[in-house]
Amino acid sequence: MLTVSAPSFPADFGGQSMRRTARIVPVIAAISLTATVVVACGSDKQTKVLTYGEGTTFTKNLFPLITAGNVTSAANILGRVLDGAFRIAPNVTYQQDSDQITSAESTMVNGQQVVRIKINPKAVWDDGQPITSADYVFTLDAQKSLDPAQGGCASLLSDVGFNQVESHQIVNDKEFTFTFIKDQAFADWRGLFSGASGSAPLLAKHVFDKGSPKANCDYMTAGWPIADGIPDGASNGPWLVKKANINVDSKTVTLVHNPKYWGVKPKLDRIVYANIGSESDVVVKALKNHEVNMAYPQPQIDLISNLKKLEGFTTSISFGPQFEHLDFNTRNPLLAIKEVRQAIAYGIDRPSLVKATLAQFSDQASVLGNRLLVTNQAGYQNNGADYDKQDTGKATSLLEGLGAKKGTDGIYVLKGKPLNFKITTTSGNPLRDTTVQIIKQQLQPIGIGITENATDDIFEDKTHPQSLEAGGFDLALFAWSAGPNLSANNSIYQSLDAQGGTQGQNYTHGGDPKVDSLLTEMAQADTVAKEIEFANKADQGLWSDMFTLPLFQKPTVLSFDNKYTGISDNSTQAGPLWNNDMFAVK
Amino acid sequence: MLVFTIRRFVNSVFVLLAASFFVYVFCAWKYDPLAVYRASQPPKSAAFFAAQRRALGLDRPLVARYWDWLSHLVRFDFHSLIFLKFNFGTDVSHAEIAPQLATRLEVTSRMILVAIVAAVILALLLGVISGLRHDKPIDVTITILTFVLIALPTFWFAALLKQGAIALNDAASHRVFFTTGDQTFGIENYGSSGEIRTDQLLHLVLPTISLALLTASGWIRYQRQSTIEVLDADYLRLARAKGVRWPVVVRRHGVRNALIPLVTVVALDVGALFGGAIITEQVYVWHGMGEYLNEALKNQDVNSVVGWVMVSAIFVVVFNLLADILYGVLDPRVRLA
Repeated sequence: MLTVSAPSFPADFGGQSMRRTARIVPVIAAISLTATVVVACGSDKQTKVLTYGEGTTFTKNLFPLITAGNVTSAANILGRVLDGAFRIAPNVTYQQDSDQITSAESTMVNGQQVVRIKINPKAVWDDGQPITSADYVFTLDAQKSLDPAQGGCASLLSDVGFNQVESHQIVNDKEFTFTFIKDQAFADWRGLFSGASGSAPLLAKHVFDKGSPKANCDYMTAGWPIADGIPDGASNGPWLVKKANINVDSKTVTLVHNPKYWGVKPKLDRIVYANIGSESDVVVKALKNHEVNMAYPQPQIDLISNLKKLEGFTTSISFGPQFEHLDFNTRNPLLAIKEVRQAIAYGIDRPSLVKATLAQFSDQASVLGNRLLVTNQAGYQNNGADYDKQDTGKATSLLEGLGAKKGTDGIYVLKGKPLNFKITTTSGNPLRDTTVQIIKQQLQPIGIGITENATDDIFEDKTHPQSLEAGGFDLALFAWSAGPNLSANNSIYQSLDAQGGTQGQNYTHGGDPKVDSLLTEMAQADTVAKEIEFANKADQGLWSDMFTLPLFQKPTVLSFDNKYTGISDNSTQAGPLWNNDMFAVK
Repeated sequence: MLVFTIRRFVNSVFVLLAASFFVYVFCAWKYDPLAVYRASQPPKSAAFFAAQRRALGLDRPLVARYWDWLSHLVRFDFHSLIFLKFNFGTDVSHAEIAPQLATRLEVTSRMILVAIVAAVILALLLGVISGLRHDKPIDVTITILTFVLIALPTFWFAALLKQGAIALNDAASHRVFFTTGDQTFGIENYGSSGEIRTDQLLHLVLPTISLALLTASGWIRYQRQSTIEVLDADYLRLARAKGVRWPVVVRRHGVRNALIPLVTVVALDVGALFGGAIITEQVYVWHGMGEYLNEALKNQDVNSVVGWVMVSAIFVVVFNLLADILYGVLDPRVRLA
C-alpha cells in the first residue's frame, strides 16, 4: 500500500484560495488524488519539526575558530550545539548560561584582573564525559597565540583576549581561575567563552588534545568538514549535529536532541536547517508552500512587502548591530580640518536620510547617535544629539569662519581648493547608492559638492589604490558591526600612535589622545557598567572630532509560521536560532 | 572515422589546456580570496594573512601555481574501474574540489537529463510538424508559442510556474508540487528509500517543465527551418517522382537529413547545460554546478572557478565529439570524407 498521508498543513491553509478556485477543483482533485497515491513523502512520523531556510552560503566546515567554519550559516547551525559559558542576548550583551556555569566573577588583585568560574556540576559532553576545569583551561591555552613558534596556531582567526591571559589555576574539577597580564585587564573576558555564536566555543580537552601544540593545531586547522558532522564528545548544547543528519547534496543539516543534555530539553523534536539562498521570490514561495517554516533573509523592500502579505505568518523587522557610517579621510588636506568635517556632518539631514531609506522597512527606524553602542544595546545613549537635525546655518558659518568663499558654481573654495569630495562605497548596493544621492542633494545647497565612487575595490588590500587600506578615498560609506565585545572597536577609533604605528582599521587616520586613553580604559574595565561608561565618554570625544559619522543601523527581517511559538529575533551574531531550544509547536 | 575521432580528441585536449591556462592566469591575477577578511572586525593580524597566503599558495609565482595545479590535475588509477581521476586542488576553505564538483554534477545531471530528453522529443515532434505544415494554422500556433517561450526570461517563467503550482496546492489542500530543493528538506531522516525517490521525482516536475520548454523552444525553430529546407531538396522530389509514399519520404529521407543541424545545436547546448542551468537551479534551489560557479566567483576562489571551467569544458568537448560522430551516422558523406 503506497498511500501515505500528505504533508500536514495549518488549518487555514489555502482557505480563501480554495473558494476562489472552486471551479477547477475537479481537475485538481484528480491530480491530487493521483499525487496522494504516489506521494510517499512528507510522512514525517514526528510532527514537532521546524524547517529553517538559511539565506547565507552553506558552510563547508563546522569548526568556528577557523576561516572555513566562521560563517553565518555555521553560527546559525551551531548556536545551541557548541555552547559556551555565556550567550549573546538580543540586547547585545553577554548573559551567563546557568546550565554551563553557576558563577563567574572578575576582580582586580594587585592591578591584575582575576576571573573565577564555577562550572555546573551537572555539565557533561555529549559522550557523557564531565565538563571540567581542564576543558576551560585547554580552551584558553589552545587560542593563546597565532604564532606556531610560541606554541600557537596560525589557522585560528583570532587570539584577542586569550593572548592577555598570563596564568590559570585549576581549583578543582568544577572551579578554576585565570589571570590577565598586569595592567592589561580585558573587559570582554566573557567573550572568551561565548559559544559558537560568539565564535568562542568551549573545546573538549579529550577531543582536541592530540598530545602537542602542533598536533592540536593540525587538528583544528582541518576542523570538522561538513560532511563528517561533529565528533562525539565535542558538543555540550541541547542539540547535536551528527554525520547521519547532514545531507551535503541538498545542503541540509538536521539538529537532533543531545540525549546527555542535563538542562531543559528542546521542545521540538528536530530542526531542519535548509540552505535556500537569498533570492526574494524563492524565500517567499518556500514559506508560502510550507516547504520552510522560518526564514531570515536579507531585507529588501519588495521582499518585506511580500512577506507581510503571507497569511499565517509573522514577519518582524528589527535593527541589527551592523550600522552604516561615513569615514572622513584626514589625509585629504581639506578633510584634515575639523570644521570642514563638522560642516559636512551638520549639512547632512540624517532623519530625512533615514526616512527616505529605512522608513520603508519600518517606522521604528531612527538615526544612530553612537559609534560604540547601538540603539538596542544596553548602555546606548545618543551622544550626537547636536547633529540630529540638519543645521545649514552652522555648516556655512563653520566654513566661512575658516575663510572659505563660494565659487561661481556655488561650491565653497578653501585654501584655493573647492570643497568637492568623492564618497567611495561598494558597488551594486542600491541602499548605499540612494544614501549617497541624498547626501549629495543635501550638501549641494550648502556649497559642498559630492560625487559617488562605487567600486569593488573598497575592501581590497593596499595594492588597490581605491581601497580603504590604501586610503584612496575622501569619504567612505560602509558598515561596521557593533557587538558585546566593545574593545573590538579600538582598532577603528584609536590613533595610529596608540596602535603602535599601524592603522588597524582606522582608515580615517584621525586620532585623539583623550579618546585613545578612554578607549584603553574601556578595554580594561573590570565591570560592564564601567566599560559602557568609558565607551560613552569616548564616543562623546569622537563626536567632537568627527572622524566618522554614524548614520543608521541596518534592518533585519524574521518571518515564521504562526503554528510555532517561542521564536524571536536576535539581531546580533547569535542570529534568529539563538533560542531554538525554546521553539515549540502551538 | 576513427582517425577523425582521434584527431578531434587530441585537439580537444589542447583546447582544454589552453582554457585552463587562460582562466587560471586571469582569475589568479584578478582575484583576492582573502578580501572577505579585510573588513572584519576586529581586524585580522598580519600573521593571519601571511598564514592564509602561505596555506593557499598565494605567496608563490603565478606560473608556479598553475604548473603545480596542472601537474596534479590527472591521475591514473588502474586498480579502479574509473581509472582516470581528476584533482582540481582545494578551495579557499581547504576542501577538496573534485568531490564537491562530483556532487554538484550529480545534482545538475538529475535536473537536466529528463529535461533534455523531453526537450529533444518536443523539438522533434513540434519542429517536424511545424516544418511539414509550414504557414498553416498549426505552424503559426507553434511558432507563436515558441517565440513566446524564447522571449520569456527564465526566472520569470519559473516564478510563474511556481506561482501556479502553489495555487494548485492551495486548491487541492495538499502539497502536490514542490517549489524548493531537489527533495523535501530532511526527508532522509525519516523516509524510506522508496519514499525519498518518489519525493525526488516530484521535486523534478517544475524544474523539468521549466527547463524542457525553454530549451526546446529554440530547438523547435531549428528543426522547423531544417525540415522546410530538406522538403525543398531535389532528392526528396525525386523520391516522390519515383512513387515513394509521402510518409516514407518524410521519415526515411526528410527527417533524417533535417536532424543534422539539430544535432549540432543540441550537442552544444547540452554540453553547456552540464555546466549548470544557473538560473533554473537558483529559482528552484538546486545546489548544482551553476550555484557552485556563483559561489566560487563570489569567494574569488581561483581553483574552484578553474575546476568548474574544466568540468564544463570537458562536457562541451565530449558532446561536440558525439555530435561529430552522430553526423557520420546520419550522413554517410561525413564518414567517407
